[in-house]
Amino acid sequence: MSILIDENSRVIIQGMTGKEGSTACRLMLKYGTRVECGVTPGKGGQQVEGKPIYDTIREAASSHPVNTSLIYVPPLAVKDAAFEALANGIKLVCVITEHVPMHDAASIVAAARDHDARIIGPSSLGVISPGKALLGALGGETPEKYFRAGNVGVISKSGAMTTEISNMLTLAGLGQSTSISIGGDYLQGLTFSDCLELFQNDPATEAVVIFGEHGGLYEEQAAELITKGGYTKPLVAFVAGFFAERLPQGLTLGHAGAIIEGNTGTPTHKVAALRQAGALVADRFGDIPKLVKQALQK
Amino acid sequence: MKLYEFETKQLLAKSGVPIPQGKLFHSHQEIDSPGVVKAQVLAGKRGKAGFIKMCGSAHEAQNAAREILGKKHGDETVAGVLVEGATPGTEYYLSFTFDQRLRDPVMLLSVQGGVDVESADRSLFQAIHIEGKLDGFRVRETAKRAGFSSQVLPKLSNFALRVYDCFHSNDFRLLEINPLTETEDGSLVAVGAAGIIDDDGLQRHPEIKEFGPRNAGREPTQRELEAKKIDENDYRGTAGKYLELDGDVAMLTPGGGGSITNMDALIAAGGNPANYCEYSGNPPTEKVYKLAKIVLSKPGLNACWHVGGISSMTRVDETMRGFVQAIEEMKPHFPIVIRRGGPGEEEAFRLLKECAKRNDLNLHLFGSDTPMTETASLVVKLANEYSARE
Repeated sequence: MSILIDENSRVIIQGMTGKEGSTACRLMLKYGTRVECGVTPGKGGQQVEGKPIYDTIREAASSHPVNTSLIYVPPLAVKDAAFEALANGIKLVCVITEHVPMHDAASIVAAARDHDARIIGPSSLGVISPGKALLGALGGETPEKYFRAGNVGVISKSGAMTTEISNMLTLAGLGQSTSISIGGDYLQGLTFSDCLELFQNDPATEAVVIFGEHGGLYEEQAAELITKGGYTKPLVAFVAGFFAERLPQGLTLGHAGAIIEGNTGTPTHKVAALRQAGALVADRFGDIPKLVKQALQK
Repeated sequence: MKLYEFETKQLLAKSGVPIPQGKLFHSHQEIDSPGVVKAQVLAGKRGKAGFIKMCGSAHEAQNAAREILGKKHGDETVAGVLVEGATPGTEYYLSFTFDQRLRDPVMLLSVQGGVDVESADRSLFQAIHIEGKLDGFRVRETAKRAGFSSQVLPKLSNFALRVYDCFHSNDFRLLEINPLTETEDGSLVAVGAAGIIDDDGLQRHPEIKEFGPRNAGREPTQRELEAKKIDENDYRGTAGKYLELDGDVAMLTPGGGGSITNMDALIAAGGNPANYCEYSGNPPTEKVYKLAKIVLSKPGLNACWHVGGISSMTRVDETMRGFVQAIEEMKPHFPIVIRRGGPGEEEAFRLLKECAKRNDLNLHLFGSDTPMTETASLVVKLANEYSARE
């Protein structure tokens, strides 16, 4: 099995007539993913890669059984596009667009909660369940070269590191159940802990790797989930951004951040929290496959 | 984008939030009234640093401003002072920001405002999770829990709703009123205000974008200024993030996650980065060329590490062609270690090899079959050898 996407995913791409949207469509079709159609208001009736374009999701959904949306529209149009997908009953929405305003991201996350749906991103590069389905352009022209089906889940704040870590695992003979680029924005849809809960319930996943970065508290939240017993499989973690701790820190403006977040956010704090919860933390990026193997042998 | 206090207050006033009477001055001679003289800087902790002065006469205010203007607060030089009428009273605290745990805006409220908020008891703060809409009754309920007296509640909920409107309609990521003062006549005034606008929200607020230049942080170097220009008139991809550090290894690092991972890897291997940089989103050849020229021209380099993950959309051939043009022109003597993968990598590597051969460069090439950070120790070793050689 896998999480989020598989052979049953029927994808609609919002903004498929644009350069990135049409490229993703081509790459996904090449990988065997069922891209059903696209939506671009004002361009209904056109075709991209032989797939029809509609003006609205409502029209598209009447003749295509879509269950997953991929968003490639400009930043200020993302909120409306996500609302359209959610209002039409789509339960998985992946936002590739970067620079989505925070107030919009918060509204999208809240709307997804109300619709009992999942948002990936903003600023995701996509999701892949190797051998089954690809969402977005992960792995570029040759995803089959970097991603192999297997029993390790990958969750990364960085898009490129999603491919990089999966490739390292593949080179070490370890395949992936699903690799997810969750995006590194301050407010995001699926977080590390949301994905870990999904992997916990996926029988095909035996261990998970997470790639974290300095800032925010999503890594600490993952540690809390483990401590609470919400995730019990082995977790291998890597946290980047230690060098940022050596940069001069300006005097911060306001107190609200410190009141809410306390001293979370630094890689040192994240690593300590993850270790304390029992995760295997890789000191060196290249040690990730070794630690996964160790964890799987136990 | 951090705002100066006077800018935050302009936006608050537009939303109908009462602010003290005040005026901004850039030279002390123009000051013609007594009041509180407040340095306009982007960093916090002004009060403790002596940058807020209560002055009983216009003459006193002039003297205070003369003393403050031009002074340094952290890395900033004070260029303006706000002179406001004194507003004594009881000081509270109110702010709006985002809570990552809830992934939603929250309101924070405390009966204890003023300069020492940071050291105040955390339990004095009460939070509301906004959930799409802020209602007056929820503000009053929260204020009651926070220990506000009943006569202030009706005014407070009105005041908070206006501040929330300002927070939401201007894309603030943080809007803090501290102190929020209840004056002797019982009215509420935003005496202190600090704000940060979400950079991604700025695109729908051209009027805020037009606010004057910010001068936070140290003065940028010439090369940093040049790097900034790379992205200015060309929206295709980014290549203008460049920050100088004091090491000797030039870093050319595509991708956000990859660049910070490789910075850490270099430091862990005992190396010293000469800079931090980032290029991403498939920038055209000439952008990478310009960035490479800047990165490689920093004096005192002992090596260059051009290292990135496996890209999905960024063309490795087109971006690497920009790097090849730069080293073709500059012909650096120091060793160059490259690790990169993605679309067009074969062509990129062919160009690199030919260029190295033509110019007798000390170039070491690695592809996606070598894990990304594995070449860190090699570049550190080569840099040390190169610096010892002279």
